[in-house]
Amino acid sequence: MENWTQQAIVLIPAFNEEASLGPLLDEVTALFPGLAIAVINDCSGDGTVAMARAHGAAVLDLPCNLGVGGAMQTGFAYACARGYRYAIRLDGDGQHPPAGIPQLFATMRETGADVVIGSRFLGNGGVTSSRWRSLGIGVLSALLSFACRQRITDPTSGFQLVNAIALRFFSATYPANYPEPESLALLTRQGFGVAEAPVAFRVRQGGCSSIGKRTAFYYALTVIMSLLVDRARAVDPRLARHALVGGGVP
Amino acid sequence: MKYVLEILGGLLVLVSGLSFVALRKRRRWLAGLGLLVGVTLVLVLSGITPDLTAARVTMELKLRVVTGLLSFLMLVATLEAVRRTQMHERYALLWVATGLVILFFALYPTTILAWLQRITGMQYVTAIIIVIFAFLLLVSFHFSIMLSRSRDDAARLARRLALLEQRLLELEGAPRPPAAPPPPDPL
Repeated sequence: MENWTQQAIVLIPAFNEEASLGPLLDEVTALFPGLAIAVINDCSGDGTVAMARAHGAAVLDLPCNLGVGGAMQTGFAYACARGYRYAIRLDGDGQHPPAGIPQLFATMRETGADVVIGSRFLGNGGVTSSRWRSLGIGVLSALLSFACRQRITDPTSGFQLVNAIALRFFSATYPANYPEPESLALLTRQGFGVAEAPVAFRVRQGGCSSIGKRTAFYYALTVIMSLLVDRARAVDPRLARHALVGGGVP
Repeated sequence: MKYVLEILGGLLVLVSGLSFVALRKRRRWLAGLGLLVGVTLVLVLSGITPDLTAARVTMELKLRVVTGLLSFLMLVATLEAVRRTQMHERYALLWVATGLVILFFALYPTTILAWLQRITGMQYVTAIIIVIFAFLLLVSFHFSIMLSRSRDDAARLARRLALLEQRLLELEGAPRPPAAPPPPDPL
């Protein structure tokens, strides 16, 4: 894990992120020269693809809009097929600081977890949200912590590090809508280890949250429903952690 | 004149069936003739039966005529859509079943519908609406499942396409992303 830049790939799901993508890609390359980057273009209407290619990233260009979940699954499948040991998800809006990536690796090394999430609220990260948003995150956090049987402070964080075994799982199955909380619940249910690392997020460099004022309620309902439905679903033995360790690609 | 509606419905079905077959064989004049005969039959029959024009026609009878015609139109539209290959047979099946059930209740209101009315104490109108509603619910539920499946298929295809496209670019000599991963460290 010491020479992780040789074995890892950064996955950036992007939907109309032309403005913020260039600086982000430059920043990643400057910090970690030689680190592979793939931008998954979720059918953007702007110059996202050209911008990503111009800055030296591989582009997975989806022909129709699949949402963050579908885009990420494409990225995970790509990382899996190309044999990368680790995948790091960064959001295209520049909210996730690339400088926090070593922190994720350090936590993975310490805890032996399969997936590490960069948490805004662990330690003294300190991004202040609006009152309603923090209430929603609190409820979701409590529910998810119960589902995972461990403390999850930042259930909606998309800043995550995934190892090879979890990559196999994610490229086979990944939630389509609002995937972050549900994917954690699925992981712990299938026997994977999840851990959080404190990361200070930045202010969005461009674009806007996929969860607006009007869709926040819908978001909460969808996530809660999918969490409950997942509990009612049987564990898939073919995709359990111990079944995927041996390298069996489903 | 008790069975006028049944006879009328039967004739309509017969004539329209003939027209359908004629249309299929591209004999438009025969189809037109069939439809003309059908319309004439309806006009003549409604002329000689006092039931349809008299003021004492019950609400129930009117409803039966309306639902019967509706279901008939539904059946014809479904079969026509299948014929023109606008609809697959597997999706048509539920529509045909719905149409047939509604038609059955319009033609024979004294069988199952009467039994339904007796055990629930519903009026005729309520009963028939409930039956139609149940079937339409079934159809739309079926659609939701099919739509989800179709969406999954589309997503799978889109993902595969994006991966293949990038692979093709790499094979054509576009700059590869760096680092072919070295031998893995044990996990």
